Amino acid sequence: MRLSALVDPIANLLLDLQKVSRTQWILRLIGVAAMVLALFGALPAGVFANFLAGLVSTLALCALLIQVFRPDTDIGVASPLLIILALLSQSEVSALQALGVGAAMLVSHAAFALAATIPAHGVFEGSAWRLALRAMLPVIALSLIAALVVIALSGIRLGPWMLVVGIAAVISLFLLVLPRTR
Amino acid sequence: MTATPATAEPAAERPLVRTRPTAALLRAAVVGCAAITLAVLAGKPVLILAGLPLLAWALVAVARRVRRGEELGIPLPWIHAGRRTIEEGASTSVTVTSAPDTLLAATVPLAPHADFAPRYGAAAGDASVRLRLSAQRWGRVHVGPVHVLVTDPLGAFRAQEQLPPLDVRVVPSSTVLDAPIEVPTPIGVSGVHLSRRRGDGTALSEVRAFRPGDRLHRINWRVSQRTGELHTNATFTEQDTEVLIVTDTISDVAPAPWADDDAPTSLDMTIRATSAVARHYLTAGDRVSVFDIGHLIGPVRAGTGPRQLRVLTDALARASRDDQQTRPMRRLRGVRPGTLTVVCSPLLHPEVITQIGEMVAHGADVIVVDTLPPSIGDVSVLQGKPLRRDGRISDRFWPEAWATRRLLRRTTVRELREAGVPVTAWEGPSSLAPVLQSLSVARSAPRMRRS
Repeated sequence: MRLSALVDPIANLLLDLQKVSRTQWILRLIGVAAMVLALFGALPAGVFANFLAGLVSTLALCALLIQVFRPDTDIGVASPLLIILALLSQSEVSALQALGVGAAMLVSHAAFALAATIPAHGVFEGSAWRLALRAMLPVIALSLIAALVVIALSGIRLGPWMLVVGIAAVISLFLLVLPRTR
Repeated sequence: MTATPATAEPAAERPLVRTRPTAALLRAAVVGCAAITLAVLAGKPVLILAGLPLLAWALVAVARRVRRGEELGIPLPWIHAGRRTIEEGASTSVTVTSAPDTLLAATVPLAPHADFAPRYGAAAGDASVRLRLSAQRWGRVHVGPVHVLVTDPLGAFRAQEQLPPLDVRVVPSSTVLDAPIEVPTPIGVSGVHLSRRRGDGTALSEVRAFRPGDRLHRINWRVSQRTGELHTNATFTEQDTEVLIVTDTISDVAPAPWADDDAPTSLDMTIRATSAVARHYLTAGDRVSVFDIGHLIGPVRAGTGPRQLRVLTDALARASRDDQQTRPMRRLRGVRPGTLTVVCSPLLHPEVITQIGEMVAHGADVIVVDTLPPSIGDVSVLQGKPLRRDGRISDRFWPEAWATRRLLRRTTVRELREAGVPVTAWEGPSSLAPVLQSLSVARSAPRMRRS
């Protein structure tokens, strides 16, 4: 087997990587870094501390890797869901830890959402960066306000009937956020 | 996705395009609701905090869409170019605009012989994206079709459309010939070239005896006083002339694979030489016309002045160089004796040589500008094996074949020169200076009658 037959595909891949813009590198690396941070936040004992943690981490990282190449993929829902499951498996979860994990996932999600708006060789002009950052301000504000409300109400003990109300609220929220057409 | 007109109407009157939720919105909704569900089921309210930011992201996106009334759609983006006609090496901008406070991403396919900024022709901006286009070669540059993607600033709802392409015309660069404007045989009425005919003009031809009909202000009083008879100054008339540029666009010969990336093809050299010669003589006030043997450039009738220069450069820029086919030949029916005819050709087709002979037989003053790329048939690179330069390998015997062809062509060039037709290679603005200089000297030499 000629060496060039082995080396040429790799060389072509590396040449294709040259076409990826700085904007895309920045957005995708932010997405990866923030999600990895969220994973570390959800598994403070170590991402490979035990078999289940290792399994969750591996699956989350695999889904993240796919999302790096395809920012718009539906598989991108796997990493944050796995992180939330990992958080759920913790015996003690503080509000700060949960909020930190949520914030990191938000940063990752926002970065991948923006990366999906342009092709791999596309660049963001300065106005695009400013617009995107400005748009995050109400999200951050709403998150903080809602978090304060949740923290304030978390001490209130309600009966089992709250389960039904809670599930109904979740379904209503889901339908509100997702319009009928897709 | 439909292709719809993209004229620059006000945003309020433009057709609407519907936006659809993106995969990011779905992910945010699923994760946010899943966090709340798990929190409720497990009885751990703090778990809500993990999914809350994503849910807030989705809620803000939906609220923004409702508040701005974008459920019915957003105005279709529109495209316009800064300048639709530019020179070689110049640049123009292509701007795509959409509704305010939207993230607009525009992607343009790369065009040959044109550079974009950003480099790969894709950018995103706040309601407006400006792409810079630099054209390296004359002709028409097709910009588009432009793929546009409009989203809200969070990327939760988006619409995609394809806008129709724009054509940008690139005229050949404005080379100024470094050459005299004298022509051997001016055949016009009034211009800047000295003719052999005596009449009203400014150049003195002789001082002769006064004849009835001579103008009184031409009387040379000094000579008249000395000789005792009235003498008058006779002058040569000044005429313009007709310049016919014959372009050979039958085929386009590319430079050798080992030539520089920006080395011109035979068609490039033909077009640039045509543009330079036309500009040179139009500036002098002569009438210039163009006849294309190869059907690529439409015929341009004789005209003078800046308007003719614009007509000519527009005709050259309209030529399409996209197809690589050989075109049928068009014959020049006749040419007025004394017309200065500049033939820009790589001299590869025997029909062209025949046509040159016919023009000489008709009495035209013919000059041939050789536009074969200099790297073609270059014997200095021959090594007896396929040539390898910068990772590229030539076809076997390709360099030898072209070297042989160039040797054969040398015979043709020699025969043309022996027939009195100067042949000079196009090497830029100073290419024609020696030839035109010798022509201007030859106009006063005894001329052999052409049979």
